[in-house]
Order: sequence, then structure tokens, then C-alpha cells
Amino acid sequence: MLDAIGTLCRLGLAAVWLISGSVKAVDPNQTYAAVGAYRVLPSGLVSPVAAVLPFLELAFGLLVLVGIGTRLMGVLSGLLLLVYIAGVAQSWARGLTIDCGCFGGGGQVAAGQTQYPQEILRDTGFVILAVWLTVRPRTMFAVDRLLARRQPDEPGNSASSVVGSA
Amino acid sequence: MIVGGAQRNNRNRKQKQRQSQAAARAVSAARGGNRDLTKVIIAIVVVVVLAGAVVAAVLYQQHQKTVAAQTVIPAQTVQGSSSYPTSLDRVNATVLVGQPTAKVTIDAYEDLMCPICGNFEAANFTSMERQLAAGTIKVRYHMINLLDNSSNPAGYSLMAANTALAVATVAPDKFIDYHYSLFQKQPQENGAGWTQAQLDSLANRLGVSGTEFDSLVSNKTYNSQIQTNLANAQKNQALFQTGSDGTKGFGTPTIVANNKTINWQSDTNWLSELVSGVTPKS
Repeated sequence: MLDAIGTLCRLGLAAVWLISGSVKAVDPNQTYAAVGAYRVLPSGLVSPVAAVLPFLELAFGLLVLVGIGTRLMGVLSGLLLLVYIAGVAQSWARGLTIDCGCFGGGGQVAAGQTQYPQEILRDTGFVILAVWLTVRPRTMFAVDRLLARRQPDEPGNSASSVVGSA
Repeated sequence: MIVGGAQRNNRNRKQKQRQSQAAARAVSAARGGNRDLTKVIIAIVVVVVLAGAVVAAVLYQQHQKTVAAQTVIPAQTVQGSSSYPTSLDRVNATVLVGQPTAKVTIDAYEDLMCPICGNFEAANFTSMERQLAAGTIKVRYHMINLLDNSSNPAGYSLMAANTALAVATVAPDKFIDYHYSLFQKQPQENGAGWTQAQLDSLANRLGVSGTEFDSLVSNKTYNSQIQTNLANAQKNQALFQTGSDGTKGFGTPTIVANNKTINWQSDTNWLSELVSGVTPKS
């Protein structure tokens, strides 16, 4: 049962990264505008960050999807999402009027068109998926499972099962 | 015998137990080693995939820049441009196109990166050009750099405006051709923008070149005046327009005649109204 929930978390998080990464990757100019709109990075860093982020998200999505290093990917996903939440929060606090550009779009919007609470809430939901995978990385259909097949992966089990079989 | 046998059995059992415990320790040590190895493999795979993504991203961006830099901006000439004069106001960095005696003066604030400015030119230049040739209007172009941050690297708007003014300095009658060509083939907003080399190449193909032109470009002669013009425009309430969200402010293009901004998007007859002496609704 818990494995099933974990699997849903994993596939959900993979979908988040794959969708957001591909939407950003196909429109690099928009992504550049979206990153610049946060007005956090020095001008020289906006371009490289905007170039790398979409591909990084796609790589995250791929690794989470196949389930390799699920715990590590849970940690990394959570950290990246926290950076995004911090970015949205500082825009909100500074009174910028931007779209987060989380799933494409992004950049300046009219004063009444900001959606900071919704954006933060949504990202927090994604963080919960990442936290689950960090705390309990056991899921079904994962490469981690194949790598662990020749050994019991719960440390508590291993001692008793070894003695039992010997 | 029996006792001895029991003892032996007992000893055997103990020995077996010891052996099996040792074996278990060895196996579990070996498996612990396996577990560490698995972790190392996982970490390597993750690092390799993430590093690959970064490299792919950088290569992709470089490829896009290379493609953009290879674009040749087509040189276009405006048919009737020889029938009216063009003069540069060096101090104010504005270009006046048309007969000085023309009754109607239109002030156009434009950014060469701005897509709506491109739309304005595409929708109105033919009819404006007809009035220019007829001597009924003159147009004062204020080339400004509102969208400097909409190119990557930033600053295409300023670079293109300076180059257009350099053209107007060296060969005033080529300004309108240069201006027209750049609006016909605008770079993508938030994209790389045309490089200085591409801008120079367009000028050269329109017959504008030489040491004066080169030094105006390399010294960025008009940059500071262009920036001053933008700052002044953003403070000048007479130039403000109401945006789609209801806020008032300065944007590009701003078209002004008779001290009023013209809403050329909703009033498509604005030019004929101006020429016939009616002030269009702003």
C-alpha cells in the first residue's frame, strides 16, 4: 500500500519535471524573460541559468521516472522546488508583478494578474511528493528495485534473513 | 559411547554454529559492500545525467546564437524616399523625415526590438509614406531603448538605435530605408537580437559605410542621448497611454500629433483625419 503511494508520488513528480522542463525548453526566449523577471540574478547569470534550467528539469524528470536514486532525487527535487518557492516569495514581498513561469509563460504581468499564493501552494504540493520519496524511497517499477534485487534492502531484515537461510 | 557421542554431537553443533555465524558475517559484510557499491553507481548515474543535461543546454544555446547571427537582414529601399528630405538633430538624437513645410508633425517613439512598433510600421508606413511624398506630413522619429532587457544579451534596442542614428548622420536619406529594413526583419523578442556586425552589414548593403560611420558605431556616440530621451519620455505625462490593464504609462510605440497621443490601433483612419485637419481620438 505504502509502496503504491510512493510510486504515485514518484510518477507525479516525474510528470511535473518533464512537463515543466519541456515547456521551458521549447521556448527559450520566454524562459529567458521569465528568469530575468525575478530580478534576482546578476544580468550575466540570467542567460546561462535560463539555458540550463529546462534541461536540468528534464533530467530530473527522467531520473525520477525511471526511479534511480529515488531518495537522492527526492532531496534534489525538494531543494530545487524550495529555490523556486523562494523566488516567487521574494517577488511577492518586493511587490514585483510577474508570472512565475513555472509551466511556461512568465515575465511581467499586470498588477492585478499575479497569482503568488496559488503558485506557492502548488509548489508546496510538489515538495510534499519530494519529501515522501526522501523519507520513504521504496516504490514499484523502479531501477532502484532492480539494483537491490540481490540483497534485502531493509537493514533490519538482512541480519535475520541471512541467519535464517544459513 | 552414548555420552561421548552426545558430547561430539554437541561439539559438532557448536562448531557448525560458529561456522555459520562466521559465514553470515562474511555474507553480510559482502552484501554491505554491495550496498555501498550500489549507492556509488546510483550517484555516478545521477551526476552523469545531470552533467549531460547542463552540457546539452549550453550547446543548444550556442547553436541558437550561431543560427541567429547567420541571419542576413534583407536591405529594403523605400520607393519615394528621394522626394522628401531627412535631417538629423544631432543634439536631441531625433530624425525628421519629410518636408519641413508640412503642416502636420507626427512624433513617433519607437524601439527597434518592439513587436508592436513593427506592427505599427507594417500597418501604417505605406500610407504615411504617401503623405510624406505629398508633403502633407513630416515625422520626427525618436529611436529609444525601452526594451533593452528583452534581448539576450541585453542592449539590442540601444545598439540598434545608435546604429540607425549613425546611418542618419552619415547618409540622412538612407535612414528611412534602414529603419524600414529593421522593422521588416525584427529579431525575436527576448532572443539574441541582431549583432553589431549584422546591423553594420545592413548599413553597408544600403550604401552606408566609411570611417565616420564606423566610429559613430564603435564609440556608441548616441547612446547617452538615446537613454536621456527614454528617461524624459518616461517622465512626460503627455506621452502616457492607458495599457490593457488600465494603468497609465509610457510604452512603445507612442505616436503623437497636435500634442495628443494617437490610438492608431482602434482608430485606423487617424492619418487621413490628421491630414484633413481633424484631431483623432486618443
